[in-house]
Order: sequence, then structure tokens, then C-alpha cells
Amino acid sequence: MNILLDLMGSSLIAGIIFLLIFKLNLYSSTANYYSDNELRLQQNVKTLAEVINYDLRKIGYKYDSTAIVTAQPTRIQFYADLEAPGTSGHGVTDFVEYYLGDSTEATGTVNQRDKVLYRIVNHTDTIGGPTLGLVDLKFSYLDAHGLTTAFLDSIKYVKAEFWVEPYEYVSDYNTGQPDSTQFTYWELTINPRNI
Amino acid sequence: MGKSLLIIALGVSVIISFFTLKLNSNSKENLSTTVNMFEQTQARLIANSGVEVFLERLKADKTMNGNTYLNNSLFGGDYDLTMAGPDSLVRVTSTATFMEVTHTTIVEAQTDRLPVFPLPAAMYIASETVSKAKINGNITISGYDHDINGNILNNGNDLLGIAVDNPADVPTLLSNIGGSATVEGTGGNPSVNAVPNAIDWEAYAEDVANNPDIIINSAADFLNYTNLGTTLEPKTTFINGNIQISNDLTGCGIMVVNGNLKINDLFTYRGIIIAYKDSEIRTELNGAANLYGGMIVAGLSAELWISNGTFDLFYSQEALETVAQLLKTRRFNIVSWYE
Repeated sequence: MNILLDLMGSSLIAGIIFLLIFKLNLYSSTANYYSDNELRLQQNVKTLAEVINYDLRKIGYKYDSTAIVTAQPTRIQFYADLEAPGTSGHGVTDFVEYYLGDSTEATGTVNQRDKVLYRIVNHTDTIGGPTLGLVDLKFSYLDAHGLTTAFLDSIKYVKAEFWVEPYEYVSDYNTGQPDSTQFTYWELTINPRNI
Repeated sequence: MGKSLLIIALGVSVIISFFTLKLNSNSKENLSTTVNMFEQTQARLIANSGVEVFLERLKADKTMNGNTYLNNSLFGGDYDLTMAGPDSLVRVTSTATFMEVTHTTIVEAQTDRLPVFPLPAAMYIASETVSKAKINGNITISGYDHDINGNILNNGNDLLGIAVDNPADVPTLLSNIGGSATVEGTGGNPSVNAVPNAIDWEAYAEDVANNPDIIINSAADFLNYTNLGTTLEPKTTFINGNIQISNDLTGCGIMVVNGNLKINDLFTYRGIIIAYKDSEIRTELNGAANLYGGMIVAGLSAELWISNGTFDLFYSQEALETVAQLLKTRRFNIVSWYE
């Protein structure tokens, strides 16, 4: 009888322990996934920031007239010489355009909201690339006093804001439903020195 | 039973350790991503600041051009900087390093000459200063054209003695002129009238005060200079504070006065004197002040007080043209900025 009780008791304890291990494993997988996603979000948003920062700081470089041609919330067109002095291509004024595509263009990702940011140089060199999880982008244009302006020749600052989400929705640990609450926001206010 | 528990406990520990290590490594990677952005920004700011610092230094010492300056420390990083090219297009290349992140900024700058505007009269008094402008004593203000040494030319190239902005300011100003002051020039005696003015002289004075060749903050500063510019090399001078001139002194260029300037000896200046902010110019004892060119009074208040001496202000187109042609300010205008 005692042996039987020992067997039942130990089986129960073993079952509980296995359940705990199973749950721990499930939890760690989800947590890892969240953590990886967060890291990727941060890396993606930084990549976007670097690209935009690099180009927008050159607005008007080696261009004497009003450098910004189009100033819209999701589209900017401007003149600049993108190449550094002493490098190939320096001395040639480039026409640069950034615009945010439509969410239907990014078909390779589960996230239905992500969009492609296009960078077009001299009307031909179009780079779309991956979405990097970008779901929204907004350019604002400020004058010397930091006030929003619609006059192209008054623009002294360009503020870029972007929202980035994971490529794929993450299932909520408790509900098991797709969850897109993970996102990151980045804001840059750039003062191009040549305008 | 004990061995089984031990194996289970060790297994769980290994799983938790892997889990923790993974989260920790992600956290570190995340932090390094953010920190790297900070490092890039910091490197860029150090490179940019280096350019600003050395352009300021170049204003004071033009022999710095054509040289390379290595390992300049700033904000926890350092930068190497090279300046090359003529005054009309100096190229400054600044390469900064911060925490192993490097950034290069290339700037082209040119010397920016201070504009010299034509004067409406021998003396111009801004409307905001008229009620607080006082002219008293043995002073002669002449709108007749003189040469650069104060000799009258009689060439018909004459202006008013004193110009103000509005006709309503004329009687106010006349009531503030006392003693044996003489104001001569076109339009009769006293030659005071209103002339339209489009120049912001206060801003102009501030521009000069921000980039002067010579700054006089105390009488001791005069010991550093044998003159305040010559007709061959006019200079911008900023006199700031209560200063007394007790020795013979000459100058040529543009002088901005902010404070009380007492002249106790012979002082001859060719060019423009701008009384700026809250200024008072006195000649005392047997001091004699000669200004050949013109004078602008713009600011909160201004007094020309000649208690025992003379003050001759003679309009001189020759003096003004000399200043306009030869004055070189040592500030730089940014032509292009690559960062």
C-alpha cells in the first residue's frame, strides 16, 4: 500500500515538474521572440535614421538656389551634391527624392501595415529595399524660429518621424492572438547647414 | 529519487541559464545599437565644433591657414583639422573620432567683408534715441565734405549736419543741443532735418561688436595698440565699458562705443563711430576729438558732452571710401558645409 502511495505521489510531483518545465520553455520561447523582435526593431529604426540623417544633412550642398523642391508629409524632393569633396561624383548636383510607398507593396511580410520607403537619386537610381518594418513616416518643415512653414525658401529644419513595427505579428502569450503592440518611434530634427 | 531530482534541477538551471544569457545578449546588442547612434552623433558634433573653433581662431591669426592640427581634444573625443586655400575659399577638413567612430566634416568658407553704407549726414540719430541724445559744449558737426585730414573741400558734395528719421524728431533734437555746439551743412544752420533711413544701424553695430579687430575693455587695453587702424589698414574697434583716452591716439575704420568714452588728449579718428546701446562720449581737460567721416547714434541713449575741450565731427567722403575699400573684417562666411 505504501509503495502504491509513493508511486502515485512521485508521479504527481513529476507531472507537476514536467508541466512547469514545459510552461517555462513556452514562456522562454515567447520572451526570446519578443526580445529578438525588439532588437530587430531597434536596429531597423537606427538604419532608417542613419540613411535619412545622411542624406537630409546634405540638402542644398553645392546648390545655390532654393534646394527643397517638394516638402510634403511623406515626400521630400531636394537638390544636393551627395558626394564628399575628393570622391567620385563630387561636383555634380543630385536630385534626391524620398517618399513613402503604399502598404500593399510590401507583400513579403505578415504585417499588413508596413510600407517601403523609396529613395530616388537623379530620377533613375531607385532604391526601395525592405520595409524594415516602417509603418508610417512624417516629415515636418520648420523655419528659423522653429515654426512650421509652407514656404520652401524659409525651411531651415526638417523633422523626420518614423514608426516601425515587427515584420510579423507576435502572438500574445496569454491569448494566443496576433499582437502588434510592439513598435518603436524615432524622431530626428535636422538642420541642413546649406539652406 | 535524490539523483532524479538533482538531474531535473540541473536541467532546469541549464534552461534558465540559456534563457537568461540569450535575453542578456539581446539587451546588450540593443544597448550597443543605441549607443552607436549616440557615438555617431557625438563624432559629428565634435567634427563640426572643431571647424567652428578653428575658423574663430583663424579670424585672429591668419598664419594658421595652410596647417594641420592633430589630436585636438573635445567632448571626450578628438579631432584632426586641416585648413587650406586662399582667404576667398578656405577649406577646413575636420575628422573627429569618438569611441572608435569617425566622422569627417568638410567646410568651405570665405572672408566676409563688412559692408560700409553711405551716411545720410555727418551725424545720424535713430528715432528711438532722439529724445535721449544730448549734445553739449564746444562741438562742431559739419555736413560739408572734407578730405581725410579734415580740410574742407568745397566740392558741393555736402550733406546735412544731423539727420533724423522723422520731421517730428527735429524740434526734439534741437532742444537737446546746448552750449556752443555748431551744426552746419546743407539746409541752413542748424543743419538738422529728417532723411528716410532703411539701415538697421543697431544691428550693424552689433555685427561690428561681435567681430571686431580690436576690443577695448579697459584703458590698459590701449597699451596693446599703437593705433586703432590706419588709412592703409583700417580696423573695426569695439570700445566696451568706461574707457578713458589719456594719450594721443589715432584710428581709422569703424568704431562701436558701448559705455562712457572720455577723451583727455588728442584723439583723431577717420571713418565711422557708432554710439551704441547706452553711450556717452566726453572730452575733458584740454582733450580734442576729431572725427573725419561720420557718426551714428543708435541705441538707448547717447551723450556728446564737451566740458573743456573740442569735438569736431567733419563729414568726409574720402575717409568713408577709404574704409569701404580697405576694411577687411576677419570673419568667415560659410560657403558650403559637408557633414
